[in-house]
Amino acid sequence: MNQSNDNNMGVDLGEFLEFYLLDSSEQIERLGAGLLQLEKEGGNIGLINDLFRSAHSLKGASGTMGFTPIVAMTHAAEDLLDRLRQGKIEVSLEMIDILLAVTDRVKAMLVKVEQRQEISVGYEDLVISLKGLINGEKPVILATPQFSQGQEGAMAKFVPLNFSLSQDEGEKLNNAHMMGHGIYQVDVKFASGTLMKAVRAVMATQRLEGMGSVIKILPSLEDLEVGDAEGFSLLVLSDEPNEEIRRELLEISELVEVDIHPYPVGEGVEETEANEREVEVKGESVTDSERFIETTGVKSEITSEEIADVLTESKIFKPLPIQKIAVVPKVVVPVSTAPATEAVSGESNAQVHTIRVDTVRMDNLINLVGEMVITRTRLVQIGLDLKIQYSTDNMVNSLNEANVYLGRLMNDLQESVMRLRMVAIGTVFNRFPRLVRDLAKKTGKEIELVLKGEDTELDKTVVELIGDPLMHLIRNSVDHGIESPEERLASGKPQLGTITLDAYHEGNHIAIVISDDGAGLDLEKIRSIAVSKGLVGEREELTENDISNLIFLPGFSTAEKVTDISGRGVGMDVVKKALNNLGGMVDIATRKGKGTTFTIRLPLTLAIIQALLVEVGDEIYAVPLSSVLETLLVERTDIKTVGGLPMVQLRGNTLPLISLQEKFDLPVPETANEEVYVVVVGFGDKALGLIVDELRGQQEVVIKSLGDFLNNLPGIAGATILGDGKVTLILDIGSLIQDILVKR
Amino acid sequence: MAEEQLVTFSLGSEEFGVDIMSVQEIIRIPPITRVPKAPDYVEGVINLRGNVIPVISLRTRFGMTRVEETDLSRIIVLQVQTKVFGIRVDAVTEVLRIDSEAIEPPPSIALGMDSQFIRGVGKIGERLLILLALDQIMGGE
Repeated sequence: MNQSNDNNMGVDLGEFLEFYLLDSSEQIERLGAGLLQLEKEGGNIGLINDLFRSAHSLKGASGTMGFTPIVAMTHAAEDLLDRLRQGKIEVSLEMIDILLAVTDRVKAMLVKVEQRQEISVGYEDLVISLKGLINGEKPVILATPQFSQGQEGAMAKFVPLNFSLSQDEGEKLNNAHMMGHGIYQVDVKFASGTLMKAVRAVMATQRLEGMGSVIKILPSLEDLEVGDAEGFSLLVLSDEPNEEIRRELLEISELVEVDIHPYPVGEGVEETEANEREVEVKGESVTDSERFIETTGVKSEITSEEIADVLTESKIFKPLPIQKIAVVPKVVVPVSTAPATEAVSGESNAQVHTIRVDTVRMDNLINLVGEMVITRTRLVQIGLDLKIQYSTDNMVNSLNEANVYLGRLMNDLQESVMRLRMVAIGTVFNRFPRLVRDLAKKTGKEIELVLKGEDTELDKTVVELIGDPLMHLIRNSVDHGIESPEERLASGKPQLGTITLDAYHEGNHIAIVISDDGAGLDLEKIRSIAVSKGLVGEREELTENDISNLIFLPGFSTAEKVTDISGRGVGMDVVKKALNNLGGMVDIATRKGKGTTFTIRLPLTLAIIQALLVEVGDEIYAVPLSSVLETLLVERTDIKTVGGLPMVQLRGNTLPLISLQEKFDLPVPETANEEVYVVVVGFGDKALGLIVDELRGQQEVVIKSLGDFLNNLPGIAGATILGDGKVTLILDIGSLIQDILVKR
Repeated sequence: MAEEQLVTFSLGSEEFGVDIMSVQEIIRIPPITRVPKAPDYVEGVINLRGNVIPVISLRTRFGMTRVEETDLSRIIVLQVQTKVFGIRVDAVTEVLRIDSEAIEPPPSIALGMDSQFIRGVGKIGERLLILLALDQIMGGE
């Protein structure tokens, strides 16, 4: 189906597909998060409704796109959730497991879809498990024979009749529902004085056989034969549109009125007053849903019944206590008069305020703004030059005034545009509850993950790249940090371990804190392992902090056994490296028996940095201000060479120096100054002095990549364009320091 | 008959051609920022309307002697696959069409330069055009 669509629609489908993928992955995320919450909080009706809604829209969208496997799975999941929200079954652990497995499977399928491949992921097993859950605990609903004669006078408004189905018929209906077929109650009225009513009914049944199947007729044929019924009702399975059914039936003589309504499956009709009131509600929203179909012209595989389901979601049938139900109709009235799309779900209101934009377009915008900033600087320069030449001319003054105003606007514009790139870190955090749950289950630990500061915003690039290091640290906390429930109880801690993930702004940086209340690092063990692996000397004096930081050394792992969660000793140094690449660093604080806290500090954005411009010979370089500790003016005679490396004494410590002129093979100046500037830069706890000729001051610079080709040059992090339009290179302090350490 | 459109330029006495489809634009030499530690044939980087792009000195790349910049010196900005870069040439000469049949594979004994950069040799009357293999010029060792 997918393939044939591809041929027919070409480009259009691609566009839809993009929307579909975005929307679907959002729904899947929502489902995943909701399921975890469900596991924690149990049967919360609002939550189950949300889940149902997500599963439902996923099914609908997948159906439209023709991805049958996803439809099959989400449909079964939807059914299960439907049972849940009706209180027919209880939330159980295996249920959550299976539903989570469904989300994983759908995710895998979506990946296939994204790669424009056929969905080859199997799904039947999950559908069977889901059905097992549904059937295993499903009370027989459809065969309850308590409400059979109530249809008189109900023609005007739709009331789902109880057709008193046999077990067999009920089964058929359920299957059809599960397969996503349309199930309709068709109410037909005879013209007055119609003879041979039973024959008409049989004719109707026969006509409909061509389009589907009639499960039941009410009243029965015998009753029609003898009684004076004004009409009859059919329970029909069909995938044809309502109009087709109606036309077919109206062709039979003496049949005058045909009303077709989706028949709610799994919601038996009971004789309670509250229920009757709801039934009206249902009727209203059904017409609503039909209107929705008509106005939007959506003719997809979403049946009107399904839309009706969605529309009536806020007005659940059974599980609500009576007093709540009484309120429902009042709420419903405005909803059903509102546009159908809004009625679909309340949360759509909240989403209206965001739009999706391709990042390429955004980056382009940022580039253009950067260009404008540069051009403005030129304009200012021209204005100043003119002023010197024509100092008495008023027009020059006006030009300069306009320039100042333009400058302010540009600053605002630049800031606003930069803010576009900021994303809440919650998007990363949200995938961890699931991770922790699964890991905890695997290790037999009881762990709660507390998320804080999800709203904290940082640059999109950082958000994208921070996920993996964070995951490593969390895995580590689960595996090595939190103890087993028994150990915890033994040491007087609550059985449930807590891992907290927090994010907050700290000046120009953002801090991300991962803390656990586990056993803390075993410093002695770390030390002895480090010694045995030759990473530190046996006699070396180390502070607690030093020892903790040993775990970031390559090839270090204290785990006695290698687990598939963490271990193998590749973890922590990779984390550190990844964070360093982002311009960040990580600190550890640990207390034995109390837990461990990792604090990650990252720059807010990778796109703009404060930089100190320095001059070396004819060249200008930008040093990221975040690494600059201080600047010194040093007499050349104070620079001593120790082991081939220039050094200078700074407050009793020796500071290694690099001459940028030598490092970058710049031409040697003819006359050397008596004094040179030294920019002291630090990275982590290492410091280094850069020898430069002049300091040019501090400036905000926009980081530009040097492209794939010049990407990995030692000592160069990137480039930027200064006000005069010239390209200036940004120094990579991390790699410069690394270089010196290697030399030593 | 298949035809190719070429932008031709000169380096010293030799004439070269690149496929016109790869040429983004031809600019005068702007200030070039030297990039330390980059391969020697990378002259530096320039600002092309807000984008930083590398510039390659073809003379260095082909092992020719360097010359002073003249009024005719240009940078041809090329896009090869997704990479954008400039090549510095002595002068841009013309844009011309050439029959695909007039292009011969590179001679086994190269014209005093690495044959890996040569896609073929085009003959137009008495003129010989060296057609460049652009993907080899940038990196691609």
